Amino acid sequence: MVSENDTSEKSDTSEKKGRVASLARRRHRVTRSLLALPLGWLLLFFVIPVSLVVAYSVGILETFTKEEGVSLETWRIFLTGENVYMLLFIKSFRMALIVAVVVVILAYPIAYFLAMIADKYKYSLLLLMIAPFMTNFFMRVMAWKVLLGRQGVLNSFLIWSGLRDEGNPIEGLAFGEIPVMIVLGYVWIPFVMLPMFAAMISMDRRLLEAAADLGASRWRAFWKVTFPLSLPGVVASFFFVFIPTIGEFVVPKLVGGTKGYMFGSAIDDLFGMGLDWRTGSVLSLWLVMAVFVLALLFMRLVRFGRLAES
Amino acid sequence: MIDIATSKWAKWVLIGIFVFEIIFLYAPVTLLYIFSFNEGSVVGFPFVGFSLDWYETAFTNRGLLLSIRTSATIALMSSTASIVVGLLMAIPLARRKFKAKTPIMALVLSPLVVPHLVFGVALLITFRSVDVLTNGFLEFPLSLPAVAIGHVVVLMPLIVLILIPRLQRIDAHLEEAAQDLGASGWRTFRTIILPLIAPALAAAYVISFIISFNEYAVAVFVSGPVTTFPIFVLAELQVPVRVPQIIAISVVVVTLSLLVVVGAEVMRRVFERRYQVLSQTAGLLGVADADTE
Repeated sequence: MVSENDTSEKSDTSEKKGRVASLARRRHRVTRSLLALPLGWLLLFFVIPVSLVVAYSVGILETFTKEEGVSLETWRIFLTGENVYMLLFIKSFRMALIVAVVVVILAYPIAYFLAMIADKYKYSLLLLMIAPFMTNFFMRVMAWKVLLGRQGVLNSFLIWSGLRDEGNPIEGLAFGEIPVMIVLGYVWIPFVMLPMFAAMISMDRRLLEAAADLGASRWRAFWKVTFPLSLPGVVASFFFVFIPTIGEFVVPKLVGGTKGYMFGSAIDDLFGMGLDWRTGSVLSLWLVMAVFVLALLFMRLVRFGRLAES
Repeated sequence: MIDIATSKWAKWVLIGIFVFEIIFLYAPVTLLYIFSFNEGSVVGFPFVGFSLDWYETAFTNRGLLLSIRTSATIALMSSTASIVVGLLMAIPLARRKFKAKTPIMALVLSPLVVPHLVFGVALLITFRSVDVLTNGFLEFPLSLPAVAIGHVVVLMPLIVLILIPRLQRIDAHLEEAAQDLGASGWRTFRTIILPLIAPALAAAYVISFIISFNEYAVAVFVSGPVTTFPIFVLAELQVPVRVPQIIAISVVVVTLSLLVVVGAEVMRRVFERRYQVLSQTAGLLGVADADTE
């Protein structure tokens, strides 16, 4: 599986050749044994579990006795929309798309500012932006749980200060779909800028000089050089948000209410309450497949974009 | 740098956006800090009075403290194990050439595109089906080790992504020179590679620990009867009267991890600077130098 072909150390003398060859053999063996443990781990605790979900979704594997044998029935019911889950998926897909696009748009100027303008302060400012949020997902979600809601901090502040009448809170701040999206956006902004920041910081600045030498205006230089070069970072950022958002079930639980119920919440309930593992498996696989297809599609798009540029 | 970054107005607009988003990000968390000192049991206005009661309540809550200990144990186990397997993986991927490199890289990174929820569910099915598949001969109890096992899979790709760039920046000649001088593979690793990646390893460890400590989606499915800190917090948040003490303990946890993250970052910079000086000196002395970014 693993074969070493290190060609960097060619030599004239046959004696040295032999030594190099034996060194290469030794390295080859070492490489293989280094990889054995991590690959074994991934096989046992990642590849096999995911395969077992596939097996479960078609009834090859069953952990409860009441189930109905090997068939594609559960898939058929889901795909033809006989149960609510397909509609729920479309809703969650839409929410994740909105959140990802908005967050990328909000984070792009920040990444640009840090990479191109902040100069020697860029890493300190970057740390300022992400440090508090690397610490605790719950802290961030909890803050909003406390802020939102009819009796939340925001509404109680408005009523206390007399800006709103008692018994007439702002309904938009009550739990539901919009709060779920606000909170998810809030949670991801600091992280989402990292791939874009990395793309911008590693770009060849001489291209911009060349553009200026050839008479390009600043805007033109930005649209023709900086922006296309940052696109891979933009795509990476998008998925950075989209993947966890479409599988989200914690935030809906906290600030979603019934209107904020998502596809992930359904999977959580199907397994967590032990209702129907088989349907849960189908939904889980569907989620993974959707993410994969979308990722492939976007990678294509970026590559086509680059081809069009050149 | 000759695009809009050089124009004055763009600069001020961008600074404005940056400040605005910083405020947007910090304001809710700041409110939590403030309300952790509020005397009332309802989290909301008006502010009743200053008190440290909620901190006292939190620190005498046995379930809460126990869940913190559980999560710390899991984080310690999983970040230690994942640093080891991550390093074993990163070294060949960064510094050796072999045919299966691309598929292996894809496999290592694939947990990143699987939502944690799905992975948690997959692990649950796996651990549950051990006794079904072996006819009840073997059983894998859902508990603390099960969570740690799952976290290693989640953490491994992140660690590999942190370590590979650092490993690639190490001059291959250093390694070859050491081996020409008769150092064994292990000794080369210990005396050349390890010291050079120590700062990156430390950073990866801290990040892994914090992620594992706060991880919920995988843990909730495979923890069985064990209650981790996030699981405890999420359950308590559903009970309004418990919210203030949860806020208090979160303030403590966030402050502590903030200190660790900032401290680690400062340490890393000090190390990197020292290393840069060293490699620049080496460059002056005519030693091949591939490490000046």
